[in-house]
Amino acid sequence: MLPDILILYIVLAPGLVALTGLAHKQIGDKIVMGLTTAVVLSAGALSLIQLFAYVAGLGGHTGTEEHHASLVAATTGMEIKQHVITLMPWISVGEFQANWAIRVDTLSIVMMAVITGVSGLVHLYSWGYMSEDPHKARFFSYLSLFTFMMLMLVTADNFIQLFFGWEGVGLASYLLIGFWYQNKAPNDASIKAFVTNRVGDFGLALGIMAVFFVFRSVEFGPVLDAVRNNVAVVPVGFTEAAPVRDLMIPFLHWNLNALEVIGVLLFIGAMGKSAQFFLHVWLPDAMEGPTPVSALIHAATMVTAGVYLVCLLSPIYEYTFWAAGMITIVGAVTALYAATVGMAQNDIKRVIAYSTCSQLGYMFFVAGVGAYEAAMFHLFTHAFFKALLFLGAGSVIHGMHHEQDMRRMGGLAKFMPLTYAAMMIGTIAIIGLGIPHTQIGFAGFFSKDAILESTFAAGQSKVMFGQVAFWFGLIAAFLTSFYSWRLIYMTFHGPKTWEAHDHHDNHALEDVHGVDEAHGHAHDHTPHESPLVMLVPLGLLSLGAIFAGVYFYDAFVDSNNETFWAGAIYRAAENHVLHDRHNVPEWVLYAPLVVTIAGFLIATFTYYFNRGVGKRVADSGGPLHSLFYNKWYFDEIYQATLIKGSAMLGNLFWKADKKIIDGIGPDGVVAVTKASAGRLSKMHTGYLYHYAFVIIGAALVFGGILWLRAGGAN
Amino acid sequence: MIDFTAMILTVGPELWLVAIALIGVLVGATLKDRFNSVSIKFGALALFAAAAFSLMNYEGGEAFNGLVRTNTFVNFAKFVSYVLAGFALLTSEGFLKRHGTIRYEYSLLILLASFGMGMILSAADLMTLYMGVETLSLSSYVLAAFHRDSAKASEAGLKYFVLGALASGMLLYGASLVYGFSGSTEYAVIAAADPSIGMMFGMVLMIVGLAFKVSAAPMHIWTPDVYEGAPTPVVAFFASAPKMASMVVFANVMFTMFGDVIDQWQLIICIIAGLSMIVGSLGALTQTNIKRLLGYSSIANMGYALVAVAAGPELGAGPLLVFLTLYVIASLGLFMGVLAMRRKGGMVEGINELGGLMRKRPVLAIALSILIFSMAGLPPFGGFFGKWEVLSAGVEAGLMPVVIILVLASVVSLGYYLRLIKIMWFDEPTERFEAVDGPVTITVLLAALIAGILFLFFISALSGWAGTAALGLAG
Repeated sequence: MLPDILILYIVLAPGLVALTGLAHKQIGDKIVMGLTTAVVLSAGALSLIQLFAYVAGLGGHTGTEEHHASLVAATTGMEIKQHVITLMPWISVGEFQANWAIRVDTLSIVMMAVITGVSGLVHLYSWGYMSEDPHKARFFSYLSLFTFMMLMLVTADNFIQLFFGWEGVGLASYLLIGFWYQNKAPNDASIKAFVTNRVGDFGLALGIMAVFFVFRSVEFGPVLDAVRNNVAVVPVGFTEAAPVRDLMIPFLHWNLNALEVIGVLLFIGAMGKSAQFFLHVWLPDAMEGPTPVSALIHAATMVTAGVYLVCLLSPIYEYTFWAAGMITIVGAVTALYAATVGMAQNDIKRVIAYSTCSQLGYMFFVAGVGAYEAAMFHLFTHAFFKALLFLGAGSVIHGMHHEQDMRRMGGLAKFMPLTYAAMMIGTIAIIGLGIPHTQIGFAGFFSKDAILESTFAAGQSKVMFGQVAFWFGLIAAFLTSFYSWRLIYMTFHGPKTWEAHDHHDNHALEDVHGVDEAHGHAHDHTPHESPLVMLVPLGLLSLGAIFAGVYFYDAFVDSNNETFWAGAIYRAAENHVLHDRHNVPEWVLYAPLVVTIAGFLIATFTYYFNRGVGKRVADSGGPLHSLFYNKWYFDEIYQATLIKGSAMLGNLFWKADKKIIDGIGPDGVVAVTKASAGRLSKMHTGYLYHYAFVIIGAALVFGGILWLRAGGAN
Repeated sequence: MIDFTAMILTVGPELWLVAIALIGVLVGATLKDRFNSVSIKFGALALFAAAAFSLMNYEGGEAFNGLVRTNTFVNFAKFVSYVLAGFALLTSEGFLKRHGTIRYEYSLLILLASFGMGMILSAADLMTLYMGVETLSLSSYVLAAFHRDSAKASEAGLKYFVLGALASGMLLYGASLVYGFSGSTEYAVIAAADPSIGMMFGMVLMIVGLAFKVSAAPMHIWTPDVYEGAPTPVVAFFASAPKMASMVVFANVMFTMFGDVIDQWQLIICIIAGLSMIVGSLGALTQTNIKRLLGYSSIANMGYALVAVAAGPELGAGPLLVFLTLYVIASLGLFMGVLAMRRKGGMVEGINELGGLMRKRPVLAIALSILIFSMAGLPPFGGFFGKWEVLSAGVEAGLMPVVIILVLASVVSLGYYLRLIKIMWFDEPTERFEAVDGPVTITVLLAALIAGILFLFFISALSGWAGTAALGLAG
């Protein structure tokens, strides 16, 4: 691990440097951009050094080592390797203790590397992508603010700081989705994201309250230790202690297992942030934000916070049945659902957004069956290739002068070869191409296969819903391959459909940039390759998309995983999922490869050789296509039920409040008060004898009162 | 054998003030107009010294065969009153100069009024009480009419005088009834006497007289007119030092002389308190003159203070001192704010003239806002704690109805306090303000600092001092 001072730098410097945006008028945009980029890039370099040093320090890791069939049996009660830097106390009210702290363990080391690494590259990339935007300083300081909040989230050593970071990234996400606030769509999207996240955050907040209720602490250490060792706890208001795993607490009007309640509530928070089924509606709309934001926040980092939370709280989910089952099912459904929708979208960013949603589903269902390491591994590799895909898409959009509709692209491979190469690498990585039993494969191959194998193994050993999740995941893998290649073919191959169209048809963004108009017309509308500052991040991410899997496989999910995770992820003694996955039937290993190739072939057939097929299917408007194209009508259903319903309820209360409560309450009281005040000032006639009369009258009244009371006493 | 030193020490501050005032008369007669400006500083200095004196003999003592008796309760009030009187005097110079009415008599009258405050606070006998009340009142009448060329000021002075005479007469009549039925003018003897019905009538008349002096409803009726008509520095003085002194004397009389018959007067005090709060908070709502508005606000605040009186000596004495100290500091500060509002051609007294103060004079506006918030009793400012202590004293004494009125009146009073804030911060500025005198600005800032912020941190210390001071009552 790095010295404390450098860790402090990684976590706090992005927050401090974000503040320079406030003074951008004084110091200029360039300085704000330079400072934020330099700081986050250096933090990224440091975190990556930390990660590599940490992996190298495990010993025995060469990166090419053969699988160890004899996985060391899970040693329970293993010492947790973690280092907590306490910055200062924050809340200290009785048992409610929360510090500002930086927790350094394997989980946070991995997350820090992902966050600062991707964020640094996105900062760099934005120099090119946002070069024509008039509000660059604001953009960069939001990005740094986000980085800081995300780091606060992953380095928290208690639920309260985690919540702070959780809300902080939500804020940054809101600000960045609505970055082009002059237009309606980004504003609507940012509000949608914020409101949808409220639902999840409500669950998270309830979960944290439940944690405090049961454990009388909000610090990870004591809470998770109590679950690991099944300590007897006395919840607030209880008189008798009970072992925490068997503890029943009243919730609503049922008596439920405490860990199940906590687990489900906290997972609802994770669902909101990670855009899982039912709460996923905000993520596609969030693509209204600038593309670097989509890459950083809505692909690589923030949306994975939910996965991180589930892995962090692995001790809790290890001892829940229903909560873990819910994670598995929700994850599996999301993986499949988002993949089906992704097939039918035409906006290049939306396709990738649904793909993100789907990949997050993978991470969840594998965490649900108990292979948290595989979830974290996929989170890690996914960050590289998904950021790569988004930045590649951004490069395309930039080159196409803000065109996002794939139907108006095509044949771009010639015009932007480097972007094409990067997108190819990203696509091969996301579909998980690789050869089983060898160390040959892209990053996605290692993590996705680890997921599918673990899930299958879990299904065999009767872990809840494991079989379902495996089959869902397998179908989703097929769909992933299909829509990913569809994207490549529609964008980079085939006829140049953009020549036939006027690009300004759909130039919503053009209005935003007053100066951009000049840019738009200065060019001759042919696509152009992006500047170097955008290509360098693509190159670096491509390296990650190719090699992150093979290099880290051993440490994350294979022979070295016990020493690597060092207790940061906990598995119960009876949970051997990660070990059992080596004993799955041979066909399970080859099935992903087969479906991937099948998806590739179908996509090639329909979008490369017979380009009309896809369009014909879309135009014929079959029920299945309509369902997928309209995202299973989720937005419409929510509009009709939740939104209309809330509006009606709101209207009802608003009118009741205005007429009845305001009428009697504030307005009535004000009227009475005003009238009395008016009458009172009329008493002040200014005549001396009136005044004297009042005084003498008062004396008489008081005397009378005394007389009556004395009379009453006699 | 009389212990002469102890006696001198007991009445030291008052002797000092009266001596200075008499010397001032002589000096003034010799120097004439040259003394006018000097006398202000001279008088203020004397008042600060008197405040220091009252601390020197903080534990108190007895003098003149029981005519005067002091303890920590009254000495605490004495100290605060003298300091505030000093500030009120110090800050009046600029105003008087501009109005061409700077006369050394002004300082001497303030000194004599302060002497009267000291006397009523020290009084342990009806004779000294009445003498002190008259000294204070007569000086006040003259001060109210000090701008004798102004019709408004003369009217204010005259009204104050006539009604004051009426109230003094009632006080005197009540005192003589009490004397007649108890056979003594000494507080201690009266307290021990059998509470006959005649004595109780005397008590009621005394209550009416004292309520007039603290301007509690329904004896408040002179207040708005006098506050509006009298010169602003005089009103600043009225609203601070004598308010503190008179209210503490009111409490002292009720607690020491009639402490045993609390069930007889508690209801009457509660009625007066309730009426004051209602009249004060409602009356201020419709005012457009800031001095009148502050006059109503002081009526309401006297109502709050009377809740502490009604709570009785054990529960109410400490909170009373805390509340009054915070209130009078804020009150003086606010009147300083009125003094600071000066435009070409005269003083600004309309509330709307405050418009845009935040943009023209941010420091002054912030200080005034703090004072207003403090007076309105909004946390975290000092005034909140004062009100809170009074409220909890009322609750503990079981005076729920009057406590509920207190809370409601506070809400209503927010209506006009916040209107002031709104005008200062959000309304359009009208005209340029003239420069302000140094002492006035300093006093405003000091008051804001002390009442608004300092006591936020030292409120427990203030409560502690007041609590210990209140113990002096029992001893």
